[in-house]
Amino acid sequence: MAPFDESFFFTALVLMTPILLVALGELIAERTGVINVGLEGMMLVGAFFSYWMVTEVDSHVLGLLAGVGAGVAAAAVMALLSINARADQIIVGIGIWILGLGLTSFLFTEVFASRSQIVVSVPDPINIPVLREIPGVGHVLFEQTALVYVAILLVPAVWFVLYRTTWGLAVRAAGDLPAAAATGGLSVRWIRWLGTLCAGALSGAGGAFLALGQVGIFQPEMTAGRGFLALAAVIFGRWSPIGVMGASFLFGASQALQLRLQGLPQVPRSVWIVAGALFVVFALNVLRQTSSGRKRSSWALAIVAAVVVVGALFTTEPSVSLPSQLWIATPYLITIVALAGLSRRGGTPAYLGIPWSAGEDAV
Amino acid sequence: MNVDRSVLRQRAWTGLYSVAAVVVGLVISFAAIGLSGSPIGESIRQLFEGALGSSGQLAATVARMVPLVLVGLGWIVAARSAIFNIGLDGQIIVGGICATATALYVDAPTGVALVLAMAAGIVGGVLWAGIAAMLLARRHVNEIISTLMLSLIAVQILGWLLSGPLKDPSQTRSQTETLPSESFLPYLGNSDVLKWDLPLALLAVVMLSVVLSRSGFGFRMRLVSGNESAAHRAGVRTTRVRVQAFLISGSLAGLVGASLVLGSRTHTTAEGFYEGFGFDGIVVGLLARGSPWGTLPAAFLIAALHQGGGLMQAVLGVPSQLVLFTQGAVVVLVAISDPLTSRIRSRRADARDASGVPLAMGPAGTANVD
Amino acid sequence: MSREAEVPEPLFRLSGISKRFPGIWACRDASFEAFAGEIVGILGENGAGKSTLMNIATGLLRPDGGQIEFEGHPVTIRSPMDARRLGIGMVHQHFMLVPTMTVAENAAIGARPRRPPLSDVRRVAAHLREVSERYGFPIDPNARIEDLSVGARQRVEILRVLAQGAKLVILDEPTSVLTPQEWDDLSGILLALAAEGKGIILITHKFDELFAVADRCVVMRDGQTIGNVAMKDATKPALARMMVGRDLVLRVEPVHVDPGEPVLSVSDICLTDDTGRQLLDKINFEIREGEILGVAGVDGNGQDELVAVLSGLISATDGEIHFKGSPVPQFSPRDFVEMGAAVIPADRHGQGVVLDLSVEDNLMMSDFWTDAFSKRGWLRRAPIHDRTRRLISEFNIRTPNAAVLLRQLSGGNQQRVVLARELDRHPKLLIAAQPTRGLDVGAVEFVYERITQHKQCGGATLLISTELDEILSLADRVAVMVGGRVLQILDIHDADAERLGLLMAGGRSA
Repeated sequence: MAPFDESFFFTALVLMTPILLVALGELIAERTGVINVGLEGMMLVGAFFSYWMVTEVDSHVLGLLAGVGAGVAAAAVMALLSINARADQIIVGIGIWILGLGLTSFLFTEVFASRSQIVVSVPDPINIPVLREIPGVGHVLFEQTALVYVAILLVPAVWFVLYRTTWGLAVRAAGDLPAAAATGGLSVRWIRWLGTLCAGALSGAGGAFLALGQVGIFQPEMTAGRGFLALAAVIFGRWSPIGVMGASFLFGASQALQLRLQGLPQVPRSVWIVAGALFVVFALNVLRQTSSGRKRSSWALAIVAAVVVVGALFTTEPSVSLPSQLWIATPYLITIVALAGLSRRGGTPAYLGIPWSAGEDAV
Repeated sequence: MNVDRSVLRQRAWTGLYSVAAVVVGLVISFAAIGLSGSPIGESIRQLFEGALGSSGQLAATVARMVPLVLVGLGWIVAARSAIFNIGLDGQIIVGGICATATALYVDAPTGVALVLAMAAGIVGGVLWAGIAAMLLARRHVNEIISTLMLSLIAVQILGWLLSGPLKDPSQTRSQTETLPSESFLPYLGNSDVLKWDLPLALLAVVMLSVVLSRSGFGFRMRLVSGNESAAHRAGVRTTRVRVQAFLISGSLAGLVGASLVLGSRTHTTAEGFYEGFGFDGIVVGLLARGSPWGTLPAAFLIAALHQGGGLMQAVLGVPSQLVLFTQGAVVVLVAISDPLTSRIRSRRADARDASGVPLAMGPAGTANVD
Repeated sequence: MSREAEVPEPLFRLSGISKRFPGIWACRDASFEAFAGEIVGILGENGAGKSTLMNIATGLLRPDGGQIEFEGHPVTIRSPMDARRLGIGMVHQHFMLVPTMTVAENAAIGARPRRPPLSDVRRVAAHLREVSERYGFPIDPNARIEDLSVGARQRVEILRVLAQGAKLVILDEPTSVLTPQEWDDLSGILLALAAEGKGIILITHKFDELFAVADRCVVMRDGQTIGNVAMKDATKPALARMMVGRDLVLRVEPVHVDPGEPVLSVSDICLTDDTGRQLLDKINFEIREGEILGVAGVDGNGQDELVAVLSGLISATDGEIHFKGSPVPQFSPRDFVEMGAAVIPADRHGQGVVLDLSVEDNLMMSDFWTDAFSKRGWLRRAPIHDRTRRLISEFNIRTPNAAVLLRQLSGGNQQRVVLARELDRHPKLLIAAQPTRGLDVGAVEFVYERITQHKQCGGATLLISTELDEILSLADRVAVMVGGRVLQILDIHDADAERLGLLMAGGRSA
């Protein structure tokens, strides 16, 4: 099917990576009970400081480390204020967002306005010898740059840590019932600190990947909402590593689609079909959850509408072309739609966003 | 209403705290300036010059302050119902678009044209906020994400309109045709900087303050943000209250969008007309600590920072984005004891079931949503 | 085999413990001893300091003064880990079990694994199974907590404590969530543990539990330990006097009022949740004017759901409700209030009050929109202030003024605010769910007074309580709820604690 070819999926994975990295870090933080609205700011400092480092030192590894370090620093501020000072996590997050934005824009103008812009070379891909020959998936999966592999491998790693190690147990306890962790002798504070720093480190890495691995340059505000896409990915992925990866892939793919379709004269039919199919699934899912889903008439209507829509798509070819700006808006729109389709229950760590202080339950 | 002395004392402390936060934020920023090599003392001087130097500068600061007051009020109204409307920029944009379109395509005499366009702006803001409000009410979509996404989408819509349907064909830049003079937002008296949105903003502060403290609606909002379950039990239609607060928030943003567009110096609408007011407005709202009257000094401070920052850049080459950094520092400092929000989430911890397991929601079953 | 300790050296001793919180002394020079092989009770009202003392013993709090000795040696308990290492284990009143995790996972929290970082859940599970079989109450270690009944969860807590090698087991108000049958099981377990040489501390405010299993009892009041009594020498009145400081009337006879018209009729109410579980099963009853219908039963048998349905929070999936003769098909909490009904919710902090608003705001929550207090959307301050003043004096709400935040008031005063708000509306129907939970004796007496007053004025009341004494003192008829069904409705003259207890356990009375 036309735009959904090898190069599309390749790009989708590349675009998924920054979101996935950030989202995995946020997943850990949220499982411990901390919500980071300031991910955008953490990504930006990661992007800027990694870029700056590479322009000075010309080493991608050091650049990545600089980015990670910057993210951790930002996260430390977040942790200090929301865990130790028990400030409201959302407000602090907004502050970190603005701080990150302001700091990177300010420093960018200070440092680079006078210099000419250097476009940094994207790191070489790591081509895995035998597997890259597999037709179809070979190029997509096995000829990516290092951080893409890291991001994907992190998914089972995070799963393992969460569900098979003592630290994972501590994380889940801290987020679902901190009192249980405390009586078990654990320090909820430390657990949440580590979780927040993880989010910072991975956000910094995500930002670094964005600047170094995807674009090659830093621009103020270049994250364009990806931090919030990561937040949405955690929710949409139901706080599970696999779900988060699925959500991140969805967002990455929609960005890849946008890039592809911007240049085309009209929207190809295959895209309509996929969109139509997804929409039908979405609508049926929503129907299942709402009260009118009890009535048989609603279901009958829905099935008929679905058949009509799918049939129409297979027979006609609507000729619609959209302006480039609306294409750019697609990932944001998809995020909203995805979140709107979710059912209410399930997965939220019970004490997410609630500050913890020892000794509160006593007396 | 009787106000307990301890509550008054607490309010005085929070006000003092805001001032302290700004001072500390400034100190950090000037440290940053010093580190980057520019002269600190001179920078401070330019900052004050730019904001307060002459009556002209002061007027400019006040003019800049006005939209900030309105957006800050928008933030506060939403926050007082436990809604974080960070997508105010988007609502400003849509308000501006609606006002522009009305001004361009609806013929009306002076005065009427202005009123119609402003009304259209308000409606636009309400509609854009309304999308997020419905998503929250019907589909429990987190408003932080939805309003931000909508804001990003609005920026793109604006870009498309300005380079496409609304574009002025005689210009190469993305902007609209000149708006008809009947729709201009007039200046106040002899001023060439202050416009009629100033009294509007003051009126909004007074109205909101009165409504919040003395009306049934304001009381409902206090109940909803204090304890949603208890409010529901008492018969308050909690979802409706929150949606209404959300829409009011959007209307204020829409009003700002309209006034920015109708009062622009060039009398056209161009990219970036909203200048990040939505963003700054959030900072104003937070700095004002949830008090409508607090938006006045808070907005003045932020406006002063921007004006001063502009002069600092012009004279000393200190990038004006420093102001953004200062604002971030201020928000972070202010967050430590925000009276409105710090309790909202921790209050969930008070609700427990029989065996002490904390309740996130009530019992299962079809809940009655008003 | 004697249960009484022969060894004079106490297993655990607290001497002169003091603990201060802002504004109050939770413990003041409290002293206490526990011996191996003995069950000792700590008796006291809410706020007497029992939980604080035990939280100090288990490392959740640090004392401001005093000394702790374990097995004869002075120790410092800085954290729950220290307490655990010594061999002190506590079963909390509010279970510290993560619902989404399994029994074994919960037990493994904080435990140092054999091969870090891998968690040892499987080994923990095997150990748990072994321990549970040894003490005779089998538990499946791989069951998820959210699938277990409340009684089972409590057993998991005990098991966890035992598996960690506790020599001293502390139980905090264990029976508030148990059926009488489950309490029998638990007392058997406790006696067995004592026989094995463990020390057991039982924190409670219920005499019957002490008389059933304890050897000795320490009475606490206002943070001080004021009495140390062997149970075989103790009498209920004497204990009550020590607990309260004055003679306490333990049981009141219900006042008789001739019943009038039916106010609330409930027919065949059913409630099913999304997974198909039957939460309420064909509930039928009627309450008339001047009548109090008590609902007895252990928490978790559908009472919360019943209150939610009757007060409009949730719609029943089946059945009919009639209010004063007219059917009410579907109604919201707002309709409920407008109908002339009132509810005192069981969860005071979560649903009854807004802690961060003033006393005045809390008092006007239910009726601020009525014409008396509102004009065209604006609040009428003078009538509101007047009414607030009146309610504060009528209901004896102890507060410096009306603008104080509710958070500053004691539990008893907070409940007075709730009562004032609900009863001042002279509702036709009052639903009182656990109205005296967490209240001191003075507040409890006040609540009983007011409910009786409401009854004498012709109001109907649905009283839901886990305290059988409360129901027996106030109700005209008693319904027993088990598993979402009303088993039987007894007239008060036919009811006593034994019979009700039997019904609550699921048996049918003769």
